[in-house]
Amino acid sequence: MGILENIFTASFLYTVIRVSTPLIFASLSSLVARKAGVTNITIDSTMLMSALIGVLVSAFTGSLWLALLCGMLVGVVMGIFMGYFHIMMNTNMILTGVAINTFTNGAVVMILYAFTGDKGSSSMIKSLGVPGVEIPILKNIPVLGEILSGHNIFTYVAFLLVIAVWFLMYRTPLGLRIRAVGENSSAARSVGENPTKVKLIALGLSGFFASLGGMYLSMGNMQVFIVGMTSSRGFIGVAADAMGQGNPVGAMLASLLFGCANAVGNVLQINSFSTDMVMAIPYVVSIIGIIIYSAREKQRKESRVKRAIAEAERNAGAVAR
Amino acid sequence: MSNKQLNQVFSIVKTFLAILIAMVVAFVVILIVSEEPLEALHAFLLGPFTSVRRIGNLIENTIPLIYVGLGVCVLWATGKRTLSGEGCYYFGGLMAALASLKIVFLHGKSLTLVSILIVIAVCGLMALLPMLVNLKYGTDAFVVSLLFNYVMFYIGNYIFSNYLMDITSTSSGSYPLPTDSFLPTLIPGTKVTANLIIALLMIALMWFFMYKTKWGYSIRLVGLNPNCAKYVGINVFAVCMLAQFIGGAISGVGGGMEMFGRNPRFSWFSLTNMGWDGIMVATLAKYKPQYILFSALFLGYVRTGADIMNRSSDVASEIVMIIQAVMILFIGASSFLAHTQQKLRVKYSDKVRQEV
Repeated sequence: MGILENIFTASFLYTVIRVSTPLIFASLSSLVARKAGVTNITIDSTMLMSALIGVLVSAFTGSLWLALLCGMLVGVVMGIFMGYFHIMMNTNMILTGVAINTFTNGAVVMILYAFTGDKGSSSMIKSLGVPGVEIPILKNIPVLGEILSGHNIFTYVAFLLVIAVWFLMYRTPLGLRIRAVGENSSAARSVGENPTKVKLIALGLSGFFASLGGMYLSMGNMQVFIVGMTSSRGFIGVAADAMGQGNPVGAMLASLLFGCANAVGNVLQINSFSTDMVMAIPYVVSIIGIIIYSAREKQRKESRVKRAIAEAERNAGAVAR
Repeated sequence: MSNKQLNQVFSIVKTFLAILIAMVVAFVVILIVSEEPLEALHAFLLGPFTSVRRIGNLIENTIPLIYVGLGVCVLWATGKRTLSGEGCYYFGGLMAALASLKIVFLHGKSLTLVSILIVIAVCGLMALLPMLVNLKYGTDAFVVSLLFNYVMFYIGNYIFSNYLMDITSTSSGSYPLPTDSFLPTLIPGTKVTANLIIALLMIALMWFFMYKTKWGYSIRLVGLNPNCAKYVGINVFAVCMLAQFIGGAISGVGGGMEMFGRNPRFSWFSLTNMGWDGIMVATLAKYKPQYILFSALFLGYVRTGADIMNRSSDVASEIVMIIQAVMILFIGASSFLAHTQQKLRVKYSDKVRQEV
């Protein structure tokens, strides 16, 4: 069984973590936006734009820090731009998303062409990358070290961000505001909250996370920008977030599942199996996951209504007596 | 001017203003990036009309946009927005190729007809799933349809790479599609087939369906106010499913028709993005089937122009995406010009009050 041997190895699990990293960023990005009541479908294009800006700035200035800063800035600006049109100009969310995605996919090629003279990739210019790190004690532990150590800095940032986002959402005033606005923006307004501002902040954060995912692709995983290099990872992030049911840890686990399917697909491909069925599995699983979640939610709501009605009837009976 | 007239005028003004803004943005970009902006502009604006072949290209580009635009009109008419058009367009193309290559006992036009009927059935049914789970369990139809498109693609790609892929040929794709099933060519020297006539008939048919039949009226009523529709005794579930079936089937036919004359082989290795384009066409047409021809023609025109500009000058054809994006943003923005409209509304109502 060559395939199983290939799957149950340390290097396979290492690959799972590597390919899951951008998905974790994307799912966190989707999570923050969805908590504020916006389904962000521009994550994929935000990732692509940040990936390009990071590469171009690092190539032309030679400064890694400036490149990271510009990439993040572009992400935040794109998130807020989406928020501006969706919230302040009252454009339908899907239309805003379609427009921004289309714009970015066009603009990316035009910018790349203007700066490098190539429409496909940035291989003509030399850009910088973020290095990987060995974790001091961990790397000496036999199998665990092989799996967990030696990843790119972005990967560790991704896992730390999962905790940070959880903390932000459930332990800080801003998180409370975002969740309140997302659940009922009128109620939030009635207690003196400014839903527009909160949503814009959430979308800015969403863009920020997406930008990290994009820069991981072009400055961590590889050191080159290729048009279409995000290959729908932003949308998979939306799926992972939907499957994680709004919980950062759930989103991370769902991302790892997607990453796992991806890695299995790679192994199967090497063994000349058809990868398509394996690649479809995470989507099928997440569709089923979302359906089960919403069915349970609906049932719970209905039983709550039934209980309330029964109670009201009891009370009414008591009064009549 | 009554309020209704005012709304109509503003709807038209907004659309044209959005197109104007988009074109101005495009011109500015061309001026910035091009060494010879005038020649680029000339190629972009007049290029599509300079030869029969280019006019043919323009029409070829327009036809699938008509189908996907109509598809989105119907898919979105019940007020629930799904992305099924994207997956259905891809799957329609695949099913048409599969049917016309694997059904060996039929030949010629009967094969075409049977293939298209298969496409209608399969794509219509495929489009039902996201709406079904939405109505049954309250699941977000948009997210499910987005995910389901990928499932459709991977299933399709599995079929493609295992049953249709021609590995002996140098040009990558399926086995050559049977030429006797191709639709007759209308303009010699181009690939404009009788598909054009079918697409135009579809527009008329969908207009008739949406505005002159009971079912179409029900669909639109559910879109306007689902509670009201329920109250007057419309079966909301059935109406929503019907809209999805028809929308998915039209999108699928759009993809399938591409296999009967335009492409010698099936060679889609990824999702086609046509579902998203359909959203643009439909938005530009205000979700009304009768305007789809104009919006599809316009998008087809800018795309063909951008292609020609790409080949004959130093401006990348991707500029067309920027045009589309700016257009959609401003057409979709409800608050764009809303202030001016409100001012006019107040002015006219004041006038009416004084007259009374």
